[in-house]
Amino acid sequence: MRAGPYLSQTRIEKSSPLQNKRFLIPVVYILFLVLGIPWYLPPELTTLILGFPLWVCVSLLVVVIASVFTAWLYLVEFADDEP
Amino acid sequence: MFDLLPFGASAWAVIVIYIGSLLLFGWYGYHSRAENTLNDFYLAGSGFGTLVLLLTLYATQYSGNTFFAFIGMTYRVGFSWITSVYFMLAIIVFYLVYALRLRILSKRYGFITPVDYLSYRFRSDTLNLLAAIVMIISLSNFLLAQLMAMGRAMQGMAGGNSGLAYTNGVILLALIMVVYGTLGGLRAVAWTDAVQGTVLFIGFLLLISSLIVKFGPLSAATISILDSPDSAKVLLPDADRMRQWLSYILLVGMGGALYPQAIQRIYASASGKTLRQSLAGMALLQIFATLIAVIAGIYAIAYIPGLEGVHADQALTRIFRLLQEDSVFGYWLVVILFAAIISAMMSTADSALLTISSMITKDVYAGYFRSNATQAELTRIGKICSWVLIAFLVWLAIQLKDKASLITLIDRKFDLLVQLVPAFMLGIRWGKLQAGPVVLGLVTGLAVSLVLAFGPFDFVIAGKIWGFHPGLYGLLINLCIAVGGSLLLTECAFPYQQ
Repeated sequence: MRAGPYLSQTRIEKSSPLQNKRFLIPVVYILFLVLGIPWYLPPELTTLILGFPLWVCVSLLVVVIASVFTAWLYLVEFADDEP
Repeated sequence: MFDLLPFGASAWAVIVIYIGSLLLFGWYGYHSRAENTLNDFYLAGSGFGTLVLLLTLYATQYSGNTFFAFIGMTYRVGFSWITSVYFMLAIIVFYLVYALRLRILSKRYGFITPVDYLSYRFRSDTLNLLAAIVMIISLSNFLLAQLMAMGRAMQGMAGGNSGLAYTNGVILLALIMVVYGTLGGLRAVAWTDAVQGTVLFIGFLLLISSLIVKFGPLSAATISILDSPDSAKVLLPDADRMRQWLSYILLVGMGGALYPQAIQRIYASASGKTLRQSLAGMALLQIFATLIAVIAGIYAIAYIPGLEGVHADQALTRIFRLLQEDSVFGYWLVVILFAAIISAMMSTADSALLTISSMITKDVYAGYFRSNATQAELTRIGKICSWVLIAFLVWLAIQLKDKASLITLIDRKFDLLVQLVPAFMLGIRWGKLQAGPVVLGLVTGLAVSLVLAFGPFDFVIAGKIWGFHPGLYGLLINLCIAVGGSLLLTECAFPYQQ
C-alpha cells in the first residue's frame, strides 16, 4: 500500500512500544470483540456476581481492559501525535 | 406520559436560575472573544485545554436525552444493553483511525467545518455538497431529538401530560439556547457542556446511591426480575441480540466518531497532547457514565414494571418520581438533575446548531454564493442561520410530539453518518482513494441504507436485517465501490503528491 504524501512527509521516527507491530492493534480489538460478546457462554447460566449476571461480568471485564488499552494507545503508543 | 410530582415554587425558582445561568455563559463567551471571525466563533480561537475538551467531547456523545434513551433501552432489553458501554468505547477507538491526524491537518490548513477537510483531500464540489447535505440532515435529526426531549422534560416538570407545557417548553428553551449560543459561540457551548457534564456525572452517581438505599442492592433487583415474566432480560441474550450488539458497536462507533460537531471539537483542541489526553480520559470515563444508565434501567425493570413501547423512554422520570416521594434529599436531587439534564440537552442541541450554521455559512453560502464575503459578514450570516433553522425545527418538534421513540431517531442518524467513513477514515490514511468512487459509493450507500430502512420488506425486522442496521449494509457496498473504483483507476488523484 502506498502511503499518502502527508503520511510520508511527516512520519515521525520516534520509537513507540509497538514499533512496527501496530498491525496487531486491530487484531487485539477483534479479540476484544470476540471475547466481549459472550456468544460462547451457556444460555442457562444464572450465576450472579454483585447483582450482575456472570455473562455481564465477563463482558464488562473485557470492555474495561479494552478501555485501558485504548487509553494506553492514546497516551503512550501514539504520544508522537502521528499514529 | 410523565409522572413526576409537580414541582413547587422553590423548585421552579432553582430551575429557572439554573437554566437562566446559561445566558451568563453566552455573555461571558461574547466578552471572551478575541476577534469577530469564524474561527473564533465556531472553534473558540486558540482552542480548549484537556479538561474542557474532555467534558465537551463527553457531552457531545452523552446528551441529556441519552440518559432517557439508554435507561429506556435497558428497560426494553435488560442487561444486554451493556452493548452501550461497548459502542461508546468504539467511538473513541474509531477516533484512533483519523482524529489525531485530522487535528494536525486542521491546524495546518485552517479548517473550520468538516467539509473543509474533504475539500482539501478530494477537491470535489460534488462530494463537498453531498457530505454537507448528509451531515446537515443527520445533525438536524439530532437537534430535533434534543428539542423533543426538552419538550417532554418540561411536560414532566409541569406534572402532567399537558401539550401546552410541551409546546411552551420547546419554544422557551430553544429561545434561551439560541440566544446564548449566538452570543458566545463554541466557547459558551463548551463551557456549559463542561458544567452540565460534571453535574450530571455526580448527580447520577447520587441517583444510583439513592436507588440502592431505597430498594436495596442490585442483586435484589436482578433476582426480582429473574422471578418475573421479564426474566429473559437477565439471561444471556439470543443470537439475534448478539448480532445487534455487534451492529451497534460498528454503527454507533463509526457514526459517533463522525459527528460533525465532534469533528469541530477535534479542530478546537489546543494541541495534540490535549486531544490525546481528552480521548484517553473519555475511554475510561465512558464505562461509568454508561453503566450508570444500565443499572438505573435494571432498577426500573424490577420496581416499575409495565411500561410498554415509547413509554419505556419514561423509565427515568418514573424513577425520579419514586425518589421525589421518598425524601427531601431525593426531591432536591431530582430538581437539580432535571435542571442539569435540560441544560445538557440545550448545550448539546446548541453545539449541533452551531455546526449546522457553520456548514451552511462556510460550505454553502461562502462556497457557492459569496466567496469574497468578510469574516464578520459570515459570522453574522451564521447567527441568522441559527435563528431560522431553530424556528423551523421547533415547529417540527411541536408537530411530531410523541411520534417517535428516542432510540429510533438515534438509529437513523447513524445509518446516514457512517456512509462518510470512506471519505474521512479511509481518505486520511490511503492516498489512492479518489473522489469519483467515493462519491459513487456515498450515493449508493445512502440509497441502500434508506431503501432498506424505510422500504416495505419482510426481512427487515425492527429496523434491522439479521440483527444488523441497514446503514452497515450500505457502508459495505459503499466501501467496495470506493476502494474497488480507486484501485481500478490508474492514476492517483490525491492532489498533494505533485
